Amino acid sequence: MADHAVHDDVDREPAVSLTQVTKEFDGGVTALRGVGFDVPKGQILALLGRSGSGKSTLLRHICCLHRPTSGSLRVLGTDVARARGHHLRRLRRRTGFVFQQFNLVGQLSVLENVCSGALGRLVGPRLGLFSYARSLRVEALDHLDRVGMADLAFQRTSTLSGGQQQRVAIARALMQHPAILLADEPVASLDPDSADTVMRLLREIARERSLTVIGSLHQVDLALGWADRVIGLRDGEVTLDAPAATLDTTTAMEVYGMAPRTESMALDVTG
Amino acid sequence: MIAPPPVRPPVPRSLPTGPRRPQKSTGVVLGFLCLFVGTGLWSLRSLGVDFAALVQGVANAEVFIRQTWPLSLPSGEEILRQTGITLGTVFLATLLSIVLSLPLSVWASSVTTPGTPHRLTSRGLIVAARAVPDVVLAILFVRLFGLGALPGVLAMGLHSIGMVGKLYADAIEQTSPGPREALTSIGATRGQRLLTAVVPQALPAFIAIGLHRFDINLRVSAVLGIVGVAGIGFEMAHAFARLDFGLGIAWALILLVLCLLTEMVSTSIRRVLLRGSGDGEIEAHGPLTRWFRGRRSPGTVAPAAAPRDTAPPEPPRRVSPPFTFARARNWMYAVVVVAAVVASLFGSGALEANAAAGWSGFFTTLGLFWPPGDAGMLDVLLLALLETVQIGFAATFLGALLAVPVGTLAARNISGNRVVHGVFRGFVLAVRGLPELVLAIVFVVVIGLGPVAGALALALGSVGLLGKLVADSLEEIDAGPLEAMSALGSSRTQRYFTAVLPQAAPALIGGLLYQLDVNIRSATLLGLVGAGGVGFYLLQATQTREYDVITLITLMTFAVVFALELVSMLLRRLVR
Repeated sequence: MADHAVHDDVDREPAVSLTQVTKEFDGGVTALRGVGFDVPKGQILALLGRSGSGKSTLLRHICCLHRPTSGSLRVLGTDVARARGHHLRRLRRRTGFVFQQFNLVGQLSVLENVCSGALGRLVGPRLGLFSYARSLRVEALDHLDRVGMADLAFQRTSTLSGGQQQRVAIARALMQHPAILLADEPVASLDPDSADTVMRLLREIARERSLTVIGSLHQVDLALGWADRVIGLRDGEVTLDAPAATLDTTTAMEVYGMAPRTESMALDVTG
Repeated sequence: MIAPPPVRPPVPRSLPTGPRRPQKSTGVVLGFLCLFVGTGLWSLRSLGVDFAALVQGVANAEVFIRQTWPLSLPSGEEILRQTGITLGTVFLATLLSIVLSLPLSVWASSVTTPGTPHRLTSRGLIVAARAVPDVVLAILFVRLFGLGALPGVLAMGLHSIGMVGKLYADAIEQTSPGPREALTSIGATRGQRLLTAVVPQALPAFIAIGLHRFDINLRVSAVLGIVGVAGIGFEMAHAFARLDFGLGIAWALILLVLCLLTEMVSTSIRRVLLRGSGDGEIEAHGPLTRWFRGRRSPGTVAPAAAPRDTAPPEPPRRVSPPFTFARARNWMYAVVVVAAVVASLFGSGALEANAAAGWSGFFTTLGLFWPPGDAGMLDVLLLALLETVQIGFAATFLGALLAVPVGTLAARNISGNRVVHGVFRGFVLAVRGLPELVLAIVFVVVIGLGPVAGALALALGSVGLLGKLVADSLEEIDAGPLEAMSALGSSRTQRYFTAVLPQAAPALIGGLLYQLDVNIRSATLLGLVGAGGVGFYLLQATQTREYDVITLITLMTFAVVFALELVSMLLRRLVR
């Protein structure tokens, strides 16, 4: 397991470090069982697993939306269990989160949605584009430019297609000035073309800005071609942890429990 | 023939859920209906509503028309002035209730509340606002500030919180949780989440609810006129008090036209607003709707086609939205609202009241209302309360007899004929526009003082609300059983009783109970115009300044309404 404590050098400390992380929800459901691994800075990591395997729960822990029931979770050198108040907000700000359903405010303009990514470092509530300083709007437009959406900056967000909305969501995450980018099934609701654009954008941006990226995926092929490293989860436990280059589809498929008795399950994954 | 089924998924709630449940429900439904019909008939008998009374009424109507015709119309200037005062008062009152409801609903809603104590406090305040009738509040504020607009603004504004606050809290709960979660992940505070993720989502509902309350308050203003709130209601009450029927009816008609006009405008705006928030099934009907919709299409302003993979050749560097038609229109709306506020403040005369002097006597005046007292006529009050309840039951029973056929014909999928459906929908809408008080006055004048006039007025008024509820619940039934019955070669009447009514029964009973609640609340006010019940003593107590009696009457009525609420909660649970 990870021996993160020995790293004194700040730069060499992993971006995320989990030790024996277990999460039980109130209903008695155990979503994570003794999960432990380190993610070095700048790594692109794919979490593989069926729905219900604990991928989303894990990502939400790293973004400090959940707290582990037991075990230790350190994000950017801070113990999540002890972060409270504005320390917690600061930690959340440093981890951008891209959702499967984009979670943009459909009634607002694209630019205002991107600007809202800065809320974590602003004091007081904001409503309306003009409540954000001009410099913030310029920065937001730059991020929109990066994801190729600058010309739709003043569109109402709900009028965009899924792929366009996901690119706006990435721009919003960039507005947070994150050190880590988390993506929960970022392309599960998109058509293949848009999915391709979004995955490529995530990878390119990560490399440009030396971001650590952790993305949950359920398509094995997509994960192998995209990530540096693949971690497989099944029933809340790590069942696979290997560099993507050393894996082939068959090995990775074992995450899905491609044992003889559940063979049929594998079909709808590849399909 | 049966019209094509509505394009919406079947409502599972109204479907029979298993082989055992429907039987139990059927028993409850039949029991409820027997009880309802029995109470209705008993109430009609005790009140003396019978065929002879109706015939007598028709005969009186002739006399009445000869008395009021020709109508003595007030001068145009006077009409404009009173209309301005009424609209201004109602507008300010609605605005007051919105401003007060916003923080209360944020606290009351489970998704935005800072904590359980806040939640319980605000829920309690909202319930309390609904429990105190606006007329009683108006009597209190007229005592404090004298005759004028300010008592109306305060009375309607505070009472409306009961509805507006609750619906606002519901609207907040219905916002999608995704954007809230995203902002949490960004590190936004509670306040930031509220303003950036919740408010934009709930805003259309907020405005629609406000408009709806404006319509209701306009009707209520007629009642408040009787206890001294300035405006058309006041002029009308005065005219009737002087037995100047021609003038009184003229004012009633003016208010009626005003109600219908605002109802039309606000229905159109509401439809557009709620359609924009994702409810795609509402179609535009009227020209007004088309007008608002035509000018509200932000999606078409900028080019919708985005270059997919190529970077834009020259990205626009402007960081403020271009000044499009949509933006200009939003500015225009803002200017109109601000202008309306200013005009209302000065036009209604709400500013002229001596507010400071009024507030200084607040607690002294409140002391006059407490403790509740009966002025030595508890038995009379109890009898009057019984009469009020009977009026409520009789009116709901008669109203249901009218509303079920009318509502059936107004239901798109049942009436089977576009013209019939349109005509009856229009009729229901028009009846909804009638303020109950104006109806009551007309019936009092035609039939004479007493509960019969009140019961008939409320019965007719019930067709508006109940007819709509009946039509809506019939339109929501699953079309499958209907088709199956048609395939069996059944007649339309057979289909109606076998496939339609059983499916809609829970919703219909819910509607009946709601109408009963509304009618009993309204029946307490009818006495103000001499249409029977406990309301007469409300007015008498105001005139004799026995304010403790007002408190007692309020508490008694509240007890009745609360008991009814408990019974209907139980019934709804049994039927569902």
